[in-house]
Amino acid sequence: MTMKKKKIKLALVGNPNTGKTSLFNKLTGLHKKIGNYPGITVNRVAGIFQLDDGTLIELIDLPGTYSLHPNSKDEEVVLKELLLNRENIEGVIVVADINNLKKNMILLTELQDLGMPVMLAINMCDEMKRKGIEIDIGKLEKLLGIPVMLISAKKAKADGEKKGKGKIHALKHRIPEMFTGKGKRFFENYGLTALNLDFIRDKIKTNDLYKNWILYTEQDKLNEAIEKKFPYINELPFDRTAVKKLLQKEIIKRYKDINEILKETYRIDKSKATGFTERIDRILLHKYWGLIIFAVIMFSVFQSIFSLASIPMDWIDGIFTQFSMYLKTSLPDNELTALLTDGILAGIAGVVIFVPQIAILFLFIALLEEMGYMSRIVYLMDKIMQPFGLSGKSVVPLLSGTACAVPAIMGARTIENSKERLITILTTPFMTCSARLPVYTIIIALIIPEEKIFGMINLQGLALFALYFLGFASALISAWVLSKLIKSNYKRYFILEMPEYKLPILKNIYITVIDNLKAFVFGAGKIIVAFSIIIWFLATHGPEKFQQTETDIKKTEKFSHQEMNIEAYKLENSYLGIMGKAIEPVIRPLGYDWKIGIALLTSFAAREVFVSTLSTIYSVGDADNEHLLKEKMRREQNLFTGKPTFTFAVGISLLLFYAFAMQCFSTLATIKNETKTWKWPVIVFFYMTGIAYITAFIAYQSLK
Amino acid sequence: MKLTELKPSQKGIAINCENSLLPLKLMEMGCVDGVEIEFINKAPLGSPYYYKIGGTRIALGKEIAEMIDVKPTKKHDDNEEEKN
Ligand SMILES: Nc1nc2c(ncn2[C@@H]2O[C@H](COP(=O)(O)OP(=O)(O)OP(=O)(O)O)[C@@H](O)[C@H]2O)c(=O)[nH]1
Ligand SMILES: [Mg+2]
Repeated sequence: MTMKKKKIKLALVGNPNTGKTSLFNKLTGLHKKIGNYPGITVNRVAGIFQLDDGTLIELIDLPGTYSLHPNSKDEEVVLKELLLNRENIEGVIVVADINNLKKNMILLTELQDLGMPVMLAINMCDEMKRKGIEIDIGKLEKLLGIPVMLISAKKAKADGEKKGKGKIHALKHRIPEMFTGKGKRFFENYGLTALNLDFIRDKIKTNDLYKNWILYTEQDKLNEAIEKKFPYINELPFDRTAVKKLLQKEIIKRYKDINEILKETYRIDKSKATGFTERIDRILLHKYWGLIIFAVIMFSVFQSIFSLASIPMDWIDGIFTQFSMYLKTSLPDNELTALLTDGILAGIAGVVIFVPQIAILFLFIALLEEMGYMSRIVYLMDKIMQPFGLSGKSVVPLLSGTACAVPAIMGARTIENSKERLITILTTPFMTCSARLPVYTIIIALIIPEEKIFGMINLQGLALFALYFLGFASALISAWVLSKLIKSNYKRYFILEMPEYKLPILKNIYITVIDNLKAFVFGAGKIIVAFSIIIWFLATHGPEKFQQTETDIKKTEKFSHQEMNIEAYKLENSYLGIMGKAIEPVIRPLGYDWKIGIALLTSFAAREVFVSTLSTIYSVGDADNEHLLKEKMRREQNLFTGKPTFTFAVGISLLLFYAFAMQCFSTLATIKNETKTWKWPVIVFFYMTGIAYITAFIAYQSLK
Repeated sequence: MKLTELKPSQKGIAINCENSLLPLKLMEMGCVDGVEIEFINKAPLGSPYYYKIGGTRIALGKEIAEMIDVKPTKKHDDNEEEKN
């Protein structure tokens, strides 16, 4: 391959937690999530940068893996990308952790055997001195036959990276060398394949020996591709135990070769080892204190989310109220203004007001990941989660599910056991995600008095806490039920690397928080604007009867009530009203009228839409538009009985419905994506919504 | 003796890691015969176990740790280990 080509595709590959994503960010400037928990990247992510000579490099950041023999879904991504996507990926930058070069080099030697153009980037060189590490890079390059660079993704700035100097800049400009050198091959000398691959020697090129070995050993994970492109693999006899023995031999031989190489090039002064991480772990993971410390940390996290966020939330509330008032007084008093202020603006305010809470939540999750405590949570929780059919690794998706279920479900890829992974995917949507907060908050404000019990516990806060607990408890209970129903013949095992404790890189945390906030606000914002307009249109247009409303009413009603009734009557006969009436029989047993029904229906696109839909409907159906949504909801009455719509029973029923119902299309699509079948999203939808309906029904009927 | 029988801070040399019942991942992470393993800690409910295997900190479920045998070392020799 020559460098004449204008665009080159490269992949970042390496063990978990070696700083691939940090380097990716440094090279491409594209912001991706970083963390000190093995398996933070579970997906492939692409970005682009340019060399000084104009060559474009498309860089793909892959999940961490220990070898080309995957144990979990995120590692499978790497294998498939490298083995089956060869036309696509032209070369690989292996990112290794300087503290543990030996282990990192297993994967490196495998990639060299695949015949890929490879470059080794030894990361975290900022720690070299402190750890007493010495490396002979020149010799390493010679022994491996590939370019080797010593870099630090952390201390890049101090390195003068901005001014076009520094190690990462140098790394960029050695990329072309990957394609000219001749990397050492290891596998050919191991003589392991004689047993099996000899049958097909005539069918494969010698160069592809190792590739075929991987295809052969991982055939159960690659069966689709094998059937299409390498059918001869299926003709070979396959004895699982024999193959495993060979693979074990292969690793031992690799370690032997690596030891040979490192003996001449790598030196670590053992006396410099402080055992810092181990000493902290003896406290944080202590038999008794461990769980207590964990509980205290979790409690303070959630406590501070609410206490720290309340002040900025008040500001945001104030700003939106002022702005909305300003628009109302300065724009002509018509329905379009109402749509803008009461529909769209109110809906967006209902989401933006949660930005402080979500920012703090993401901040804490990012901090826990960056500093390395997330792995400790997994360690502490594993045995506790086991009876529920979950793994300690399920805790990470469940925790981040309190922010948003979509990335959380993807995070379940790190769970090796397919049954535990499936159960984690299916139960994470029960966790109280941030989209439920706008709904909870407004309903709690309506039905729970703002009082303190025992002089200190805020009742409304307590209600919110109860809902969080409800979400977590139902996730666990349904996990337990699922674990009894789903059959699996895979044995469960637990292996987890415990990363070093690190001071967080503040920029990484900043990026995580900002990226997630953007996704939350813009994702919800788009849906809210679209739905507000649709709802408004349907509520202000209607068939024949709707158009005759005014003449109808003038004939029948007394003048004094006229105005209010025209609006209400019109709404009932609009397209929206007709749709609402059609679904009313279904939701009446839960205590809802057709307007709530419409809000419920639109919530199936995204829960946050509840608030904006109700605001839109109420502002259309109400002649005077001066009140905020909460006040409107309080005043809303049943047309026939004249009683308030939002009673305590209706409120509780709604809270339960929103706690359980599967009302998020993105989540369903993610479940489909992760399980590769529509079966599971369909089951989750009916299961969760079924529970929602039944509990809401029971609550309303017994409380009303 | 079994890996799970090590006392906190006690070290041992792994002797049967090339056992076909163990996941391959373990060997890839550096848990091979002859490597030095130090027991660090046990999770509150009795599993997983936490070890330093070679230069890597690894938590292992009890079911796995029980399958690994070690030869305990009395007081380990720093220079000896460095060559690995
Ligand atoms: N000291 C030091 N720490 C670093 C450096 N680069 C990254 N880190 C830290 O290493 C941890 C892991 O970084 P990531 O970039 O998420 O690693 P990754 O390889 O993408 O991890 P996975 O996606 O989980 O495989 C983070 O805590 C970083 O702050 C470095 O050059 N020096
Ligand atoms: Mg990553």
